[in-house]
Amino acid sequence: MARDPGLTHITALILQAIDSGFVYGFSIMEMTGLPSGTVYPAMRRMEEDQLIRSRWERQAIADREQRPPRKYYQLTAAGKSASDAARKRYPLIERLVPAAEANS
Amino acid sequence: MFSPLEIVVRRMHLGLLWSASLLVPTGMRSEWWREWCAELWYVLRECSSKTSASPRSIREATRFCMGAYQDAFWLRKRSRQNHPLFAQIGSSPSACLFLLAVAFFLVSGIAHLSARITAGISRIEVYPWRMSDTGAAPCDCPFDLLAGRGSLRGTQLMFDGFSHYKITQETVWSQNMPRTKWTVAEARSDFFDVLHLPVRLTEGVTTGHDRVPHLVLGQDTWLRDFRGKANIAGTQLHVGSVDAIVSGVAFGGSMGLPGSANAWLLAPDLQSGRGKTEYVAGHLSSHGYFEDGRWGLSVVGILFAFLLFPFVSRPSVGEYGSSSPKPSLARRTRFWAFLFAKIAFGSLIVCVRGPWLFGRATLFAVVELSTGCFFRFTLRFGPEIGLLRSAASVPCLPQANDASR
Repeated sequence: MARDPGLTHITALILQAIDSGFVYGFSIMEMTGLPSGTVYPAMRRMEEDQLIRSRWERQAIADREQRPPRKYYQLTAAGKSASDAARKRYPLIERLVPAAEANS
Repeated sequence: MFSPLEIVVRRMHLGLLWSASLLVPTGMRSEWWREWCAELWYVLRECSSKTSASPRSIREATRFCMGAYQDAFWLRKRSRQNHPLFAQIGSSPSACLFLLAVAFFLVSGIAHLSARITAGISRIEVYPWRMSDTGAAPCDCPFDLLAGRGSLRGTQLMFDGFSHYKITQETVWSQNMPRTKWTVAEARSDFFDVLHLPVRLTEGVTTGHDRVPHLVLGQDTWLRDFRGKANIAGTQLHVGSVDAIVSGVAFGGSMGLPGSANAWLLAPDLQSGRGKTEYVAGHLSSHGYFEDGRWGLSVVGILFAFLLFPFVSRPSVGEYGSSSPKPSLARRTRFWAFLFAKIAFGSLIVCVRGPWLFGRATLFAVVELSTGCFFRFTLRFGPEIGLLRSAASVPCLPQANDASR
């Protein structure tokens, strides 16, 4: 049972980042400017609240590119609506997190 | 190809992640470890693409890894919340006792291990007093505490003195003695006194030669190189670059001390850095520190601390509300009786037992402290008890009980 997600500024920022195409931990950190100790626990909480879901990249793709597989995050339906609500609540957030140019 | 520095830094970061992973609940650990290692790889790649293994990039990667602890803590906390039974057990007194017991055994184990490690690095040689009906007699042989403490089982022994010495190889000669290579132990002047080692010191040698180092010959050396010469005391010997006066002959247990010294060079200020091997020696006795009456100082010190406590703290007898500027006669009488009784009792102890228990400096310090406390007490509570009436007009902050009125 998902808890009522408290839409904090950090949550809004991360939701916006994921929505904009920054879909793995380090890129979210870089885009939001938040430290790893904030981003990862926040994402776990959001995943628990079913705002986002995660999936591991296929090993074959990572092997082909000679890098470790990434854990990708994407918004759920609830996360999408929460992100919309966050944009209304924090109008400047869109300017803080521009859309990703190339989503790897 | 990584440089050695990069390899070390990478291992350090992985070590940080590994230690953080220990905080993660077991079921989530492998996934957590996989994610953070993968992310660290990208962080390092990003950092090294900016600058190659610069302090800044290392710092950034380290900061990233430190965040893993927060994440691990969060997961741990979350896990406990999801498993209230575990949380309950974790905070129960029995669990606390269990953790304390584990900590105790852990610390004991570490202490035991470190003692064994220390034993390999240095040995502590101690000289126990052999107790008999006739009194204490020094043991003739050195006693290795670490190796032979089993023989002390059942006997309460305490250290009452420590000293140290260092072994050097010196050439010794005099007008009547050819140059000979000796093993010389350099120690402080009070070495034999502190360790209660038997030594035949000759009277009269020390007077007038206080600044000259003294040389205590080992019994074997005295017999071999000086043929047991009876009037050896006062002979001047050149010990390396130092001129020393022979002041006595050591015998018995001191010759068994590690280093096999031919002689002991005693000087008030022991120069450091010359000797290659240095030893610490301690003396054990059944009375330990309390043997020579110093316990009295400790006990009376504690007593005085109790005596002085009311003078440096606010006694309840002085707690008056601001609405009553002058306490009742009964209270004032009780206060003054209390104060004079304390001072009289303290003075009595100082006068009767002071010279025995304290040196002059200590006595002076106690008197000064008492006087200072008395003045402080007078200034603090004088207005309230009517001693310093002129200061009573200073407005006071209302107390809690007054505010409630």
